[in-house]
Amino acid sequence: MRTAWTSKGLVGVAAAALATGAFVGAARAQGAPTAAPAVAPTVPAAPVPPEAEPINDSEGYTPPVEGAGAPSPLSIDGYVDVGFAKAQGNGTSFAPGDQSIPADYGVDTFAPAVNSRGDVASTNSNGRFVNGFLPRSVGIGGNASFLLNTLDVDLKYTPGALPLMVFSRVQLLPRFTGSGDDTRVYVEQAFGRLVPFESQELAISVGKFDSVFGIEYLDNEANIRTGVTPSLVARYTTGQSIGAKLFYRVQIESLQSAVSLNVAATNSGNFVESLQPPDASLTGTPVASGRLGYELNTRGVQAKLGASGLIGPRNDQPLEAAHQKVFGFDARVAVAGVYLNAEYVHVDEEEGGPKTTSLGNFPISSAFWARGGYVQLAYALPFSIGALRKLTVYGRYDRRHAWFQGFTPITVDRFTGGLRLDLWEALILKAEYLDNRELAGAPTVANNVFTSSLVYSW
Amino acid sequence: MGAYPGPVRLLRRVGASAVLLALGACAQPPAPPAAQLWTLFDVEAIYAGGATDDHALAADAGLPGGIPIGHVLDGTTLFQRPALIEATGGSYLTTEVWVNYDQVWMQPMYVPVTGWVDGVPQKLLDANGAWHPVFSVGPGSGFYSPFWQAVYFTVPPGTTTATYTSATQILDSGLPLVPREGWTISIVPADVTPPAALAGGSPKPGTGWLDGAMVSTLKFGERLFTWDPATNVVDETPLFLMVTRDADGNLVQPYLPTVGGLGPVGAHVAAAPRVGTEPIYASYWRLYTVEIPTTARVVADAALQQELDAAGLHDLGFPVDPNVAYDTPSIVGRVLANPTTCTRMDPSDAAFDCTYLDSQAAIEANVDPGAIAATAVTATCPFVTWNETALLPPIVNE
Repeated sequence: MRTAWTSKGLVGVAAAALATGAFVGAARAQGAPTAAPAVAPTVPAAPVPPEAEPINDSEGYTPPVEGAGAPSPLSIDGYVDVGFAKAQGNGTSFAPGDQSIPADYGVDTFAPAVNSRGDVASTNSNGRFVNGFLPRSVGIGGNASFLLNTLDVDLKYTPGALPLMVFSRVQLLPRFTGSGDDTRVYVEQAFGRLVPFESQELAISVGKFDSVFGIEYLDNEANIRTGVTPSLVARYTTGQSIGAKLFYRVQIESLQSAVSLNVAATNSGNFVESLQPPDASLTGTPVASGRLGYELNTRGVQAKLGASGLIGPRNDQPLEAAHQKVFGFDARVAVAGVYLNAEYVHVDEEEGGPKTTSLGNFPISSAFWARGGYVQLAYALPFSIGALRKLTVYGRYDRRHAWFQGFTPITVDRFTGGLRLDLWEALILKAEYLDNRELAGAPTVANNVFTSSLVYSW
Repeated sequence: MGAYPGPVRLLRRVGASAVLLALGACAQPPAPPAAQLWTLFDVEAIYAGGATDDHALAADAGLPGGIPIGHVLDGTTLFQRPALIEATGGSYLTTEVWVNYDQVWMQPMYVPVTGWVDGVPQKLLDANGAWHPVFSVGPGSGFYSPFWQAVYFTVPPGTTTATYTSATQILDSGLPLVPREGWTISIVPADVTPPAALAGGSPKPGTGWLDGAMVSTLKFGERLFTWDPATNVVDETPLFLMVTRDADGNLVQPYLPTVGGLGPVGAHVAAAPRVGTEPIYASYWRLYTVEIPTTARVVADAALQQELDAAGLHDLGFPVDPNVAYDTPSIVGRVLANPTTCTRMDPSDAAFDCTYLDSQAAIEANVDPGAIAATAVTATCPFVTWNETALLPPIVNE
């Protein structure tokens, strides 16, 4: 191994890889400190900045919480996610020759994902009617293209004397689709969090915040996620919504363990915004969701186990009686640089009224069922060679079985393999290949994807 | 109390806000009406749940009284409803009812063929000479419709009618697909039958495949609907139902022949297409109400007058000469627009001087447009008789 790599040279390799679409490895900050699932997502999860020089070497010095010398209560963080992707075929999962309607009921439109948001290469159905079971699209079809996936700006305000934190995450999403410029400014999170008791790990958040369901939402942001794309079940569990949530954790030090409860009442539950709009309740009744978690934190093994549930009216239609029920189980284990994540999700949605999503209005909200999950294995190898901090290799297997009322159940799966490089503390390069397969019910279609992502954080 | 009295106050405020949010929920606007589809499976299920034949479908969709399930299925036999079209008597069956659907879509139906002769697909037949289409959507879906586009695919030698049984299998086969004409074929419960009087005519019972399972069908034939080729949305044709006001001023729907149209309201389509002398009428209809003008009357024989009396609509009836009613049965129930000047009621009479609302043209010419209203109800109602004769399903090369 060459030890004389310069950071300049590495950047050059990274840029070249991104430009050529080569399958260049990337490493993940999975070993980077991640706070408890329930609280962590409410804190901007940017990579830890380089250790600052102490203001005062004298032992025991504590910066004043207010006044001169106090750390600024306002911090501005964020990241830029630049991608390069190429999908097979026309970038969709729609099979040539298939004329059944709705076009999005008999295939998995979320399969050809190209970035951490779950945006796909294309959702162009060539005029065939679709009924709103769609992800967002970057509109590149089957063309190789550079993408500015996300420009993320996080503002955090923490007044020193109060147990209060105010956080906002605003994202600029430059897009150009078949219908022209489709750029959006998206307020992904905006909430206040109160920790009322100094002696208790209890936090109350009100506003628009992350999901409480499962574990994949912890990896929503490109600068956190091990790989590039979310799993095939992320659409049901990783969406943000508006409401109130409560997190409580009890440490059991004698067992090196903790038990946590994270519950929320929100407009839409945890479906992604393209499926259920989070910014208004369409039924007038909140959706309840929660996760009961167990953590084991020993020197050699860290493990997190959880069971999640969601119940309430589906927020893509107006009828309060049209319920959705979701439950799931998750596990995350870290041993000797190996990270195992697994999750199972079970979704039942009753038939409702006219459908409204962030993508528009549609005539029917059909009854829908889905069962699926994923297993992800990653190995992170720490380095300290020039700019290189970590190399991570990862693989994930997803499987999803789903069906709309009256339509053929479809079963799809996906193998994802990728590499990630962490450079310095503020640059991540990752690349992966998605092998999407239609196992039953859905026509076989060329919808595999190569995608990569260069993430700058500040 | 914890360490932060201030935050506790804030907590209370949060709680108060939650209460306000909950109160705000009470101010939600009413939910828009939900779209609903009833197939014959649903109607059978309604009967099985203990409902009687006057149980109404689409009761709150602009059609007074809705559609009684007895006017769809009489037990397991399809109900044959009298109608008028092009000023002639006929009848139709009802197999599906939609409410609050702005549009319904034609779906693909895959048909295996052994080849093509002069551009005509040679359907793969079983030992009984029957062909079995493969349907892409089942009647359990809100997107099901009996309006199918035949998509032909040529199968290799040795293929049987049980080889291809699902749409996915056909799409995965990679065989070239040739989309062609539209068919009206309802997927129905196996025990549902047309009225015995229609034996040999339309519809033809058959079977097809859906997701690997055999399903029962009723074939009403080709060319009974048109569609927008860009969207596959099936074109609607108006079906007019006569309504009037009762003593309390409420609209009611007396049981009278409906009137089938030939094209969109105001389009003034002159005549329906024909195969030989047999007309081809639409099978997908938007139901419209027509408020009977206050000066009009309904031609009533003794039985109909009795029904009108029972409904409190005694004055609506206009007596008919029993001999005329015997010669032209479809005259009973027609709405007579000029009862004060009508003297010769038989349309075949050379001195005929009556104006009946027995066609779309007659309705549009004699009724105030404000008295014609579209409902939120659409239905599959293929005509099965016309001019006292059973219609054959318009099927080419079968």
